[in-house]
Amino acid sequence: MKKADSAKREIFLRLASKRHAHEQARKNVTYHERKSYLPHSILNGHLIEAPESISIYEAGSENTDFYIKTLDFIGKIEKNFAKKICKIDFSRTVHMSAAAVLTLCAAMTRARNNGAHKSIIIWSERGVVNRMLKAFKVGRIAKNQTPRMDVDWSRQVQIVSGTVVGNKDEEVVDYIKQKFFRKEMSPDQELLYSNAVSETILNVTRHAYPDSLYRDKTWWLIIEVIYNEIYLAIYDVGVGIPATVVKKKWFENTFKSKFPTQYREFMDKVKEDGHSSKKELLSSNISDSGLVYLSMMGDVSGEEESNKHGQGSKSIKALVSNTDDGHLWVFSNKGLCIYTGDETPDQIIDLPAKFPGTLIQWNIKFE
Amino acid sequence: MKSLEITVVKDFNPHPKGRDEKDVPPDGKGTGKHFRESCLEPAMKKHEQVHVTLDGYNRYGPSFLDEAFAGLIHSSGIPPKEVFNKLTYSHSTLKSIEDVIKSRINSAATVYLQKNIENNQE
Repeated sequence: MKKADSAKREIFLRLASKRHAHEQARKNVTYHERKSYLPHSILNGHLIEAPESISIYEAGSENTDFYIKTLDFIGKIEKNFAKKICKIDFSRTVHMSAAAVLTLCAAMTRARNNGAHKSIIIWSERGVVNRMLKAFKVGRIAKNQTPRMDVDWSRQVQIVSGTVVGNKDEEVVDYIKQKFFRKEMSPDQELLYSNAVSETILNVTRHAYPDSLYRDKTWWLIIEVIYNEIYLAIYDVGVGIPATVVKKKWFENTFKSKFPTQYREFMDKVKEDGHSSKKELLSSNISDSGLVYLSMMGDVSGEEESNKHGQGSKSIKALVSNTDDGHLWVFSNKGLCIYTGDETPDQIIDLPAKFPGTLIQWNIKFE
Repeated sequence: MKSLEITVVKDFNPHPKGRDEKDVPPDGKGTGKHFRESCLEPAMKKHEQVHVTLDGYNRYGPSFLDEAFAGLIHSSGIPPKEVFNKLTYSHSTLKSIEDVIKSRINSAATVYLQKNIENNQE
């Protein structure tokens, strides 16, 4: 018995001595919980810090800080992501709006097409922010993957991306029909939602990318449900509404009808300046916000040729005006227009910083 | 032959959409223009009466409807009188689609007649 106790004691002392030596050796070493097994190159990657609030809705308010900081962050992503190793730090982010997520998603997937460097994501401490980030598979994009952005029936927040090819617009309407209306969508509702989604996507492919091949005409779409409201936004990184609306045949008539004083001044300038084309003068004499507003008006003359088009915005307006507290936001270049129904005048806002592309968002209440 | 009935989703495409090949590249398959050129125009030439049934699909876009039906006048140049006399259409659960088609055809007819008047004056 004494021999056994002695052997045990010896083992115990040997282990204690080893433990003490190990502790002494580790005394001044700092360990990072999550990063301990990452390559040194990623740990020292280019840091891009996300702001506290990633949101663009404040563009129309007195405090436009969130909007400017969000665009600044997205600009850094466009410039650096995938071109160099990056650390994208969401640790301070406590809020993320659906529309801003869409622009961020587009920036990252586009940047990914132009580079192969991996990045790491430092996640937020807020679960709601991380859920939004995971909805567009940010982790996989950071790891140099290009995940498919199809309708995912398991997710509450849907981010879908597509081009003119395929029937993803139909899948989106199917999703709305099954998830929110539980297959009890009336034919009229189905038509209205289908027109709102499909015609808006068709507008992207028709107008947003005039010089691109059809397979490069990409759009991104997000659907989020909060209580009994659907928030849906469609985004493209095309030339913007201000660049294309002036070319529409109905534009001058609508301009004359909605802004008669400015139209008279414009016509005086046309007479004075014999060199520039009317369309060039239109673009330079009307603000982007005015051009976005006029695009939402569409044709006001009722002429046949021009009446063929502009159906997407009509369908969305019909949906929004039937919803209490419904909103339609249209961001494009340096203009923002907010529609809340035919009873109230549209808000026409000059953006403090240029919005990249066009984003159309609307919310609809359903029973 | 006297009359013909065309059911869009069975005789043409189960998911018709878009105006032309710009909306559905590269060949515009399933668009309004494709429907008009491959189904409706030949039917109008061969038959005295053509009825288009739109049942079975609730997502007809205005672009498709305009190019398919009003396009008979504004793109194919068929006189409005012929279109009004020969063509009928229906959707049993979506009367609003019938209204859209009617409105687009009427608008196309108005422009056609105005252009004819202007040409005659010249």
